[in-house]
Amino acid sequence: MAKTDTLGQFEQLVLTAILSLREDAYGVTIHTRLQELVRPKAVSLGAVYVTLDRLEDKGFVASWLSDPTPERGGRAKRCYRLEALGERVLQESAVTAKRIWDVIAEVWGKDWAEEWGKRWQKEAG
Amino acid sequence: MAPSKKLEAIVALFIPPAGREHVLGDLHERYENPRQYIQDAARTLPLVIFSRIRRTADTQFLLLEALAVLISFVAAAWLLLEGPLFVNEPSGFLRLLAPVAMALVGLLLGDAYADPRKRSSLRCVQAPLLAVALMFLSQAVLAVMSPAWMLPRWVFVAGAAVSLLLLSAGRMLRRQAGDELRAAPSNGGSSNPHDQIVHKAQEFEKKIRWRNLREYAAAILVIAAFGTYIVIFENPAIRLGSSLIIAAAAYVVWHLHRRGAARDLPAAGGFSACLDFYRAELARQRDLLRSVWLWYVAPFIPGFIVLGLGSAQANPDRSGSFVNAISVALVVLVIVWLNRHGARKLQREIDGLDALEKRVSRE
Repeated sequence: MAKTDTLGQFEQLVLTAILSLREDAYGVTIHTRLQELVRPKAVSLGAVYVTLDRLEDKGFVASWLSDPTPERGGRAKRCYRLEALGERVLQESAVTAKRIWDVIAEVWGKDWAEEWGKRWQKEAG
Repeated sequence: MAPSKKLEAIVALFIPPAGREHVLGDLHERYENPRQYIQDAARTLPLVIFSRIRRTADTQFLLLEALAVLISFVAAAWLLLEGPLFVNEPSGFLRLLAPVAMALVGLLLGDAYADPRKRSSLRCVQAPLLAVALMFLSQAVLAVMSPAWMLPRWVFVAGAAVSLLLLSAGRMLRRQAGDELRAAPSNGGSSNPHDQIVHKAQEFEKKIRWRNLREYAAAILVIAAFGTYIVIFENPAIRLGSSLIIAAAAYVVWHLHRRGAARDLPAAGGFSACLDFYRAELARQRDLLRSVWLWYVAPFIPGFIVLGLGSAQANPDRSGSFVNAISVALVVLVIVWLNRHGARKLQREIDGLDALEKRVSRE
C-alpha cells in the first residue's frame, strides 16, 4: 500500500465517528461523537472540517449535501459515509491498535488490563 | 434560538462559497447566544479557509503560474532596461520575489473563494486580477518602507500586464479542457460501484487527452522557438544546442503518443471489466510518470548544456547565465517532483479500486 494511505490518530477517530453514526454523519454529529471519543480532551469543529476534507481527498470518505432543514436556518447538511478504501484503512488501524493493546497487557500484566477494561466500561456507562 | 441575520451575513462573508452552506448550517445548529456564536465562528473559520486553500491549490499549475510571472518580469527587464540587468545582481533576483509571492497569494485566495457553482468565463480572470492587485499593493508598501527593493516602475507595469495576460490565458485554456480544480466532491451520493468506475474512468480519459494536448502544444512552441534560434544565430554551439532541443521535443511527443495516449473505455462490459480497464490505465500512466526523468527530462539536458555554452561564448559581457541556470534547474526539479507526486496519487487511486473490488465481492 502507498505511504499516503496510513492514518493519523485523529483521522482514525473521525473515521470511527462516521462509522458509528451511519446515516447521520455530518459536521455537528461527527464533532459531538469525537468529543465523546477523545474526552477529556477538546476538539474544535474547524479541525473536524479540515480532517473530513483531507479524508475525502484521500478517497476514504464520500460526501453529499442533504435537504435543507429548519433547525439549521434552512441550510443543508454535508453528510459523510465511509468508502471501501476508508473501511480498509480503518480495519488495518484497528488491528494495529489491538496488537499494541496485547503487547502492553502482556508486559504490564492481566490485572492491569482488567482494571483498565473495567474503567472503560464504567466510563461508557 | 437562532443567530441574527446580520451576524450570519458577516460570518458568511469570510467562509469560502464552497463550504458556506453546511458550515453556516452547522454553526446555526450549535447556536446558544451571540457571544458563543462569534467565538465558535472565530475558532472554526481560519481552519475552514485553510482547508479550502489546501484543496483548491493545484500545486502543479500554481508553480507554472509562478514561473510565468517570474518570466514576465525578467523579460520586461530584459527588453526595457539597458546595460547590466538588475536581475543578475545578487539582490536582483530577490527583488523579483516580492511580486511573485504576492501573485501566488492572490491566486490562492482567488481560487479558494471562487464559487464552484458559477461557470462564468470571468472566473478565469478573477484570481489573476486579485494577484495583480496584490502585486501593486506590495510595491506600494515597499515604496513607503524600503524603496530600494522596488522594481523599476515600467518594468513592474509591463511585467504585471504580461503576467495578467499569461495567467488569464492559462486559466481559460485549462477551463476549456474541463480540467478545473478538483476540489468539489465528484461522486456525490451515488453509491453504485459500476457507475462510479465508469464515471472515474471517463474523467481520467479526458484528463489524459487534455494533458497530452498540452504537451503537444508545448512541444510545437519549443520547436518553433528553437527553430528560430537556428535561423537567427550564427554561433555553431547555439545552433547545435537548439537542434538537440528540437530533437528532444520530437522524441517526447513520440514517446508520449506511444506510451501515454488515452484509451477509450470499452463500450460494453460489467463492473469487473470496467474496473480492470481503469486499473490498467492508471498503472500505465503511473509508470509513465515515475520514469519521467528518463524520457522527458534527460533528452533535453545535452541540448541545454550546449546552448548554455554557446550563449556564454556569444555574449560574454551580458550573460544571463545565472538566471538561466537557476531557471532551468528549478524547472527540472519541479517537473520531476510533480510527476512523482502524480504517480503517488495514481497509486492511491489503484489502492482504492482494490478495496472497492474486495467490498463488492464480499457483498
